[in-house]
Amino acid sequence: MKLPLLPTTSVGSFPKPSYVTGAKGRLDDNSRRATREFIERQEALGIDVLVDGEFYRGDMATDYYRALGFPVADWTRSYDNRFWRKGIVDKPLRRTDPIQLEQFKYAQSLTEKPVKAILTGPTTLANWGFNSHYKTREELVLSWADIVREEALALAKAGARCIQVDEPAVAERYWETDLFRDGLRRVTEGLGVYTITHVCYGEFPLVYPNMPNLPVDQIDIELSSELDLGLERSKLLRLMKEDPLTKYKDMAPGVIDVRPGVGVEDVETVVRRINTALEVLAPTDEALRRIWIDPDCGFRTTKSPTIAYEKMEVMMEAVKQVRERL
Amino acid sequence: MKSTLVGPYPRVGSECGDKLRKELNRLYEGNGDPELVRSLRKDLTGEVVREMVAAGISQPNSGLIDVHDELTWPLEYADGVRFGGMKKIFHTNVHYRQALVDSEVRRKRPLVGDLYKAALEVHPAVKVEFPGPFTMAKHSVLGKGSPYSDLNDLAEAYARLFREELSTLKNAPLVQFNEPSMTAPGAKIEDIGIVPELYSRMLSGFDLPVAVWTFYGKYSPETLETLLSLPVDVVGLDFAWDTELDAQLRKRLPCDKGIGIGMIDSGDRGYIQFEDPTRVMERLSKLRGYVDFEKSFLSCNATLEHLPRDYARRKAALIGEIARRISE
Repeated sequence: MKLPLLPTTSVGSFPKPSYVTGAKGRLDDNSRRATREFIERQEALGIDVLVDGEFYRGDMATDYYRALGFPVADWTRSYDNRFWRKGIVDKPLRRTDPIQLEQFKYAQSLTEKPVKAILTGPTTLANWGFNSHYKTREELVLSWADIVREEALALAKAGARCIQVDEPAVAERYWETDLFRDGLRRVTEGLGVYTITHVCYGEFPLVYPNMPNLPVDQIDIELSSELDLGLERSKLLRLMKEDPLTKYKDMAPGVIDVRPGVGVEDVETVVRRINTALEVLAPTDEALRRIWIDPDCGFRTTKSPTIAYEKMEVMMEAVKQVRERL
Repeated sequence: MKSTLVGPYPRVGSECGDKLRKELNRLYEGNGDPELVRSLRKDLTGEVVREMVAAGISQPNSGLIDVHDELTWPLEYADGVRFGGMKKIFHTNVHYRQALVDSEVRRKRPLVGDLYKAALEVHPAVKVEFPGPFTMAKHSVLGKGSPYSDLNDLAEAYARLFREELSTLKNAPLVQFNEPSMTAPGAKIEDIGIVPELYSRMLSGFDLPVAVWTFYGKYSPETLETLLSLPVDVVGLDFAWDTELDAQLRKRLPCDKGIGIGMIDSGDRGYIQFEDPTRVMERLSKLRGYVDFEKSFLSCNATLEHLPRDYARRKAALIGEIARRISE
């Protein structure tokens, strides 16, 4: 992919417009319309690598359980008033039909720019549901990896230039680092496309030493609150400064806070975050060329499409100002 | 043997819980009615306590149905703290808000309020439950203006905050502090050495029944010894994670404390199966003579919020039934 300095992208989801209701993983007329409008908005903003907005998604894990025919339990809480429904693996995992192929093909058909194909990773799928079938974690995670691998191969064959494997569960069982890596490797090995893993809201200092070994081209990491803390107070930034991930692979630090209730940042704040990220991660020109810029996570939890668009505008203006300085 | 539950109880899964979820969403979008939210919370508290009691739980908690998260919520009631980034609670996909401490921590209003009173109206034995000061400190960050030298110093400040609260809880049937940071993966014995003194200072002068509950981890002999040395009446232990704890306890006990036997799996690691009561009874029977069953509790290892409400209700019933049968 031919991209400018500090390529811009976003993580995946976007708040659903009011006309999209009842999404459970499949495209319908309304989610097609929302995807089309969102692709147009991203192009107008000048974003370099686009996402489809995931308007068809109910939940990043539950949709997979549904697509594979597993039962789904009632709501459990993830934080405050946010809930999700955990699927239950009660028989062997087996993929019979594509899960996200149609969605990717539709989004990519709307633009010449690269659209990320976004999959949920095997560890996250294993952790965010229940299991009453597999006897060991290895069996469970690697069986999910086989499913995601099949999907990734289908996406690569369909022309995806960039595949992102979302693994927000990366630090949940930090003692399972090898299993996490093995699952990810099973998905990405030999795909022949640019690969990303997105991670967020974890105790990253616990897993940071192992991140250079992850079998992907880029690590996309939620970082804005750490960038606000600054080098002095953020243990993670100190670890990054000592051994920048950019020595090993590309990196996308999140510079926009997507949590609900957090207002639209001003451009100065985001410029400051980017500058701190560059101070930590880009000690050389080569490292600088390895940095992408995006928000912390998908905008789904931001709830308001208006706020999410305003945040993306601020990010793009901040990147423009930083690029001019470099 | 008594029975109890730990941490927040699932909110949704009933008409009242679903109404509350929707009204809170409306409130966050700027359209909701704060009075209606208050009223629904009160109703839901009554409902979940009745549900626990119907399941046979002899010492319920209030369900904690208004807390944002189970680790740092008391700091909403304090000055000197703001909330920063969101983090995962240990190995789970449940999140807490990291507390950023910028200045002296001071309690600005009572932590225990109307919802606890609503719970007491349903059952007189409802316990008060907080995250413990050690665990809260471990989930905080010291800001530039913080007057605290380190997180141990901050834990002392949190303990002082709780001292103020305890002075208002003279008739509480039981006050429980949850300290998973003492045992969860990554906990270090050299870190937890401060906890007995911390609790001695926090509880000094109070004549209240107090429990400290731990979960999400395995117990080294040193950790177990530290826990049993705490100046509290009950120590809660996670028998779901540590399947060898029984043998270790048999070597160490008896002692004068009650034990919180967290033997029913709360689903935090993705297990959704229901325990066989006969096997749990067998496991418990082997603790007889070592653990003082009169003073002790059977419970889930951690919050049942990891499970959907219908599963939580069945787990609670399992706990109630086994505690009743073992007492017989």
